[in-house]
Amino acid sequence: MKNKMKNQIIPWLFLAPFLSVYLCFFLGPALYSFCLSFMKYKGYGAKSFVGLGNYTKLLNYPVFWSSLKNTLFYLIGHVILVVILSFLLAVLIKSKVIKQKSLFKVGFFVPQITASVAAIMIWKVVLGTRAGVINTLLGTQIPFLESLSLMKWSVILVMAWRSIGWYMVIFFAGLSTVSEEVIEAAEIDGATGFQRMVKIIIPLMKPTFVFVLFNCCVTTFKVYNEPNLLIGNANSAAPTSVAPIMNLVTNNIKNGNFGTAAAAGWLIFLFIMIISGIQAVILRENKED
Amino acid sequence: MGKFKRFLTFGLIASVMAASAACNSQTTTEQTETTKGEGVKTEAPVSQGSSQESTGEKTVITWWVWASTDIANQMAKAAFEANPELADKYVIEPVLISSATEVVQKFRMMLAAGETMPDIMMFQSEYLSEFAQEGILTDLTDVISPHKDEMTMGAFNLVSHDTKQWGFPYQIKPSVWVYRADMFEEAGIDVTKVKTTDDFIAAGKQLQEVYPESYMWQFNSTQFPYASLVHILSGNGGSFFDEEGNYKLDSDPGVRAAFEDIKKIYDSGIVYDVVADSTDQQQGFADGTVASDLTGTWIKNNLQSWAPDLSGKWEEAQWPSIGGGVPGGEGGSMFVVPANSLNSEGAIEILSALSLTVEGNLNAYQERSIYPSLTEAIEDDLLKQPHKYMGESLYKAEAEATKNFKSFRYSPKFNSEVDIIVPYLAQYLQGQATLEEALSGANHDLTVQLENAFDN
Repeated sequence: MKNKMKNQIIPWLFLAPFLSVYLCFFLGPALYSFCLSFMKYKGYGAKSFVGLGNYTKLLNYPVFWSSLKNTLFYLIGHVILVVILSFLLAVLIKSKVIKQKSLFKVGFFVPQITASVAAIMIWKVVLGTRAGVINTLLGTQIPFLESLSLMKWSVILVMAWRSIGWYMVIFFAGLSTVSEEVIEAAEIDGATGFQRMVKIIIPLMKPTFVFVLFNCCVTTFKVYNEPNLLIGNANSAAPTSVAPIMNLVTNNIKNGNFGTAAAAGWLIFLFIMIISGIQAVILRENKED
Repeated sequence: MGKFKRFLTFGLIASVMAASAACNSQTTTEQTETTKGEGVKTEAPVSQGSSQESTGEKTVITWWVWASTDIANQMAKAAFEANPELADKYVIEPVLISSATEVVQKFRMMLAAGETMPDIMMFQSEYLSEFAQEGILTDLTDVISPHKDEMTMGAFNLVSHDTKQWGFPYQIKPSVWVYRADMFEEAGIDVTKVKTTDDFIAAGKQLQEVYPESYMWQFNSTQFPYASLVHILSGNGGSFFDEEGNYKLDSDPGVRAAFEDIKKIYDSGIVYDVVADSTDQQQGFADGTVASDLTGTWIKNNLQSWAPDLSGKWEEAQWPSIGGGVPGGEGGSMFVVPANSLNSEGAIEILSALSLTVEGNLNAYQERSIYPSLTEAIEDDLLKQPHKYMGESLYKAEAEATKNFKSFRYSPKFNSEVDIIVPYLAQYLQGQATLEEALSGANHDLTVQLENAFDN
């Protein structure tokens, strides 16, 4: 009996530190913000209950839908670019072609650990139209940060630059889990490099790909720094043609509309859940596998 | 049992350590958050529960500024020189916040958290109506109004809301047209003859005959600076709302005229379309790409850092009439004393010495070229001396601009309003919407999102 009680209590004791921090700093504030999303509140003074008013306001706001469209653009562009490039980089570094593997791994990972604001300000200088580094070297005046058709691609470029190293490391670890014997057996059976990659390595690395896709999608959906610092400036956020959906949260906080900001946050959560759900359905393990 | 006791003890210790770490991390986060907001940090503002300490016998006055802590240090110096007794009583603790918007955001967060406010805050005028009507700021009517006749109308109106005064004027930002005098001379442009939008466009064409890669105005067409819109609307009396606070963007003649003239100027090809605060923008002022700019008086401080080699080549004049009126200004900045600050009396003493004495005004002008708020200070010979960067034109231009200063009518929801209006103006400039579509679309969104301009 005593042992049974001990076995039941001890796990909770070990979980207690995490649970207390989780309750205090995540669940508690999340519940508060959920309640706040049904209120009108400026941060001071009285709160007033408005029901679904904040949600309907957002859903009736054209900027909400254009921001969502921008975010989905970043999602698709960034995820496809990053998954493909980081996987190929991982394969390249793991291959016999690259000798100085550690050097390359570190080199590609450095952008990930660079302060994002500082890095983006430097990219702003690099991508400048008249005095930018790229245009100066090429002798051109390509409006990377001013043309409506190029602005979003510039944002994707900077996002990808920062995140490729991180996912490359994850893919590298995933490649290490693929047994060399399986690959050798395929080689002996006459499989070409391409066939080994497509029919053996990638299927065996499915869990890694699933993790990368989930992680990349969630992170990209919450993009904020790149569009606002690259295209916006200190006194104004990014224009609506490139603004991500997170701007609805920050702009409402900036203007003292905390209820609307909370509602925007919960709508973002809902969209992330929907996208994650779609991914889970598409990528779920086939039971016959 | 022994093992069980060890497990239990370990679990309890781990829980207590985690709880302590959580509490400390919250405090550390606040301090770090505060530190992150400060460029050149001196000390963080105190949070609730801590007392505002004295340094020896002197009381510490916390002073929030953006742009540079030099503002607080130099204005304090100006005040202390005007009233040396203050230097024996007070010491300034400047706190740098990254921008004017950040000051207000930080202010809101501290209000929501119930924290004690700084003693002095640098404050942009567009926020005054919101916080003044909520009683968040100290009512300074008894301090300021006795000096009304000594002050310029612009300075007095800047700090006034609803017949009361809520701040000490720091920097009124009347509209000025800065231009490269050397380039204009070569192009044969006489600024005194540029009176209307059409004159301005014609002058731009004239400039480009001599300097094909130079422009008369600079802004980002995808994110038109709302300050420039305020300049124009202050001159033609345009407003986003009527007397009851109902939005009427699509029927206001001033707003319509402003939109039309901005588009006309943009389409003429004399505007440098550039992202604000970018290298291209700053380089443009230095290399002649930007030959002139329609802006506010604050620009002279930026010009000195953007184009240090062009000292004496930039001059100031009055805006032409844009949108049917000569622009008055974009408001300005002031120093306010939050209602629950710990040392409001000391703050008021220092700010009175700075803003309400001639000597304080002149000291501020010497320190940071801040145009005086008192008419007697404006008449001083100090202001008539050539400016170290802008030369002789500065005095006359700023005196004229200050005389013509007109306030724009801000609502408590101004920032939400421009967040809605500016994208529609951008669509209109880019040719993605007609004028009617832009104005009616913006008005619809204002009404749906904000309902009423005064309903806070």
